Amino acid sequence: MHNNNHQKGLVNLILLIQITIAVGLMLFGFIFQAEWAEKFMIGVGMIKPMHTQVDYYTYIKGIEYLLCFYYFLIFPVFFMFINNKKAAAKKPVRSLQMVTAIEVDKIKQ
Amino acid sequence: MKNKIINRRSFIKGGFGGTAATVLSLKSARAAGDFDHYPDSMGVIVDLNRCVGCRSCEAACNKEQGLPEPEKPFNDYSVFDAHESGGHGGAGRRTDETRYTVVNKYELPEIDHPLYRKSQCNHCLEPACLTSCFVNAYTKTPEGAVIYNADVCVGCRTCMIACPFYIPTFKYSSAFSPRIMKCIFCYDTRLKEGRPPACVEACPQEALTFGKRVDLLEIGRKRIRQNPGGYVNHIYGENEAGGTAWMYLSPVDFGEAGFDVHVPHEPVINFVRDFLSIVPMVLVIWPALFAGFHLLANRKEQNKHHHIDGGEE
Amino acid sequence: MKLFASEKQEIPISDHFKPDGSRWTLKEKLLLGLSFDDYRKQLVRNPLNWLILIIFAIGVPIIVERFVFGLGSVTHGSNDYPWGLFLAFGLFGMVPLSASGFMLGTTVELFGRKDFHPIERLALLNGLLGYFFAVIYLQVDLGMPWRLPYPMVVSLGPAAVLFLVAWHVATYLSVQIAEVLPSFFEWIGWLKGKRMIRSMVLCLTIAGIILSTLHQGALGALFTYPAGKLHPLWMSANFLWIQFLCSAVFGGLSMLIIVSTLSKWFLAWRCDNQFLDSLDKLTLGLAKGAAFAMITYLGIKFMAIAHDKEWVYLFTGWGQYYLLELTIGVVIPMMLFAFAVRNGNAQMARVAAFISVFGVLWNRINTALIGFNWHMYQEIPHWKEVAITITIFTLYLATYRFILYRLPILYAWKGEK
Repeated sequence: MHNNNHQKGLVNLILLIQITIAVGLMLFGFIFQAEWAEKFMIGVGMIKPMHTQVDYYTYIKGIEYLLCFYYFLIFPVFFMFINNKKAAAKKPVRSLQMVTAIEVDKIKQ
Repeated sequence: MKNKIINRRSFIKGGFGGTAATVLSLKSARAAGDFDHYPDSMGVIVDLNRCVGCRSCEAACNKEQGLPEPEKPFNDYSVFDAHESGGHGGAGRRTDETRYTVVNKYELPEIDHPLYRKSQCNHCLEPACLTSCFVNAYTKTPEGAVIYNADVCVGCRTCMIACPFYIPTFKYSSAFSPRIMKCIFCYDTRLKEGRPPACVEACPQEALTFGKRVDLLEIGRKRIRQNPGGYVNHIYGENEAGGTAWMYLSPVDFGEAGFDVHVPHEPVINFVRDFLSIVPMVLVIWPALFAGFHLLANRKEQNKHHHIDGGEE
Repeated sequence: MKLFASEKQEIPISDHFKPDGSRWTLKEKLLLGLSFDDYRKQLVRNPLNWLILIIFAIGVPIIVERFVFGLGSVTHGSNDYPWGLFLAFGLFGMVPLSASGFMLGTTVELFGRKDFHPIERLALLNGLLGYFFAVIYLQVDLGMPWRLPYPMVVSLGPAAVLFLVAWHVATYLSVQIAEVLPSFFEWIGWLKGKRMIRSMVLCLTIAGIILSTLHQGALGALFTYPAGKLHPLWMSANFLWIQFLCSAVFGGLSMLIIVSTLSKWFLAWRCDNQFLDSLDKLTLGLAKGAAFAMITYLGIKFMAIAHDKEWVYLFTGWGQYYLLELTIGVVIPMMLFAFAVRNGNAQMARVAAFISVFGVLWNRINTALIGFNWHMYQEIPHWKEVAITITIFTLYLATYRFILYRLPILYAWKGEK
């Protein structure tokens, strides 16, 4: 069971890293106005003069659904990260007083 | 189009001021309802006063588009009689898989001669067929035509549902290669090269005038101004369904000449926009909302499990 | 089958093992534990099977005709009414009646209401079959049915409402197959598969809610395209999608009450005691949900009229017809549901469910056929169109029965789970 969870965690981590890299690269491209990023966006039709509202909607809906797709990849990972009972069990909930008490103890020692 | 992109790129390269200007111009260009609609796109204005019902346009269209031979030849005018109009509730003949354009006759008491009206695809500026098509089979070309790609069409016929003018028709007779049949403004053979469509060229009465849509509007207004008694003060198609490339001038109320005057004066996509904006909201909000409901509803049980688990460890 | 079930101890099959300890083979499971001759005898004895045979004998050749000679040969091929009965009944009618799957999935898996468990699998199956046959109806209606996957892989038109319907129905169908699979895995005895599905059940359930919300809504939003063609009382740019979703909620719940009632009447031999004993109580639970959905529906129906300022239409003939639809299809079953819940009268809830399902179908046909082109002539479907619609519906019922006879839907599997 433990091993299984471990593997799951690893797979999730790899997925998360991949997405982060992809999104990061895009952002990097945007910020530094890199030519390849622009070329890519022209290639996939993201930068194109729009003359009609119908074409505009085809374009924005396409991007929206693509983002939703990525969201569906990220959300379950995030959910499992937050809702991990095993991890929560290891670290009991501590109130502020408890934390300060521990710190005070440490200092005293 | 390519030019514009390159311009924009050099613009972006032009430093901060340039970038800001680009962003602003992009923003204003993309605000909903504020589209320039291919400024040089072409259109046709049909003057009902000039049409004599000779059906030359029907014949020319049939030949140009290679459509099947009609049952009655094009010089047979009995097709105008009401009993020929078929099962369409007396609305006259309509376009179908054998004809992209039809002329109908309207006998009106207030004028001494019958009125003829040609109908075909109006080539909307914001085509309903295009926006309702889930395989993007339709394209609005910069020249103004709304063209159709049969290679990707699935045959769902939503475009026929969506079209406010009842124009696209379906080749119901074919089991293995059905397709949508509709006027394409003679795009492949003529419009692309800047030539007027076959029907316009064939018209002996100059009832059909081909030109840039912006100029046609001027022509239409001028005719109304010069002969206010001869025309109703409205150009059908100026605003109908968000504006169309084919427009009409009429001496009588358009409703009497068989036009649908209830066609909304805004693009069909405006009625669908509300729902389309809800879709990504549902897609993004529902997961957390219902996962949250689940956690809230099952808290007690989870605590129970938690205690048992804790006990075992 | 009822007769055999009372005669023989070992049937109906609900375990991997016969009473003597040997395993049932797959063939025996398929034949319900009967010998081939016995199985044939029970087929022949049931008058319903003869009725099905007659319907197929008439309908199947017409379906073949449609695929060989085109849609024009079985429908009026109308360019004014491009969508006929196949879609009005088959797609727009069947899909809301199949909302039971996501409703009960949510109740049991998401809100943890385990008391609805005996009826959950029936709800999921009802959903799966409803959608599956809606797609069959769609395939009959599509001009080029072999291009069904085009909107997903060949040419995408993401701004279209039908694009959403296509994607969501396709993904939801897979979700529903996954949700129904555990009962199949129990039946063939492959427990690993079942556990795999169990581990994703929350994910599947939430996916089900999202997809159902959107495609039930999208079916309604499709009718905002013919904004000027559909009668203003039925058309509402802002509210139509939520009206379709909301009526799907009580449509789905009512359909579930109907199928569970029919199962109790005609398939009692296949139901286990847990199902039979809890059914009345669960029916009232579903009735309560349906009643709430119905009052909400009435609210948004009138809200939509207020929003578009269409009160004047209520005083026309169309308005009377509209109010008649709401009264018979919604108000009466809503009151019946409410009294049924108050008095603990499950029979009354069942009557209400039949009316309510009729009401949902009526609404869809009014939207797609009767209120559509309201200023034009009225299209009356070709008799062959009606025949194909009935044939496919019969196929649906036969498939439904075939599965209920076998898989642990109405009963809990006694073998290893």
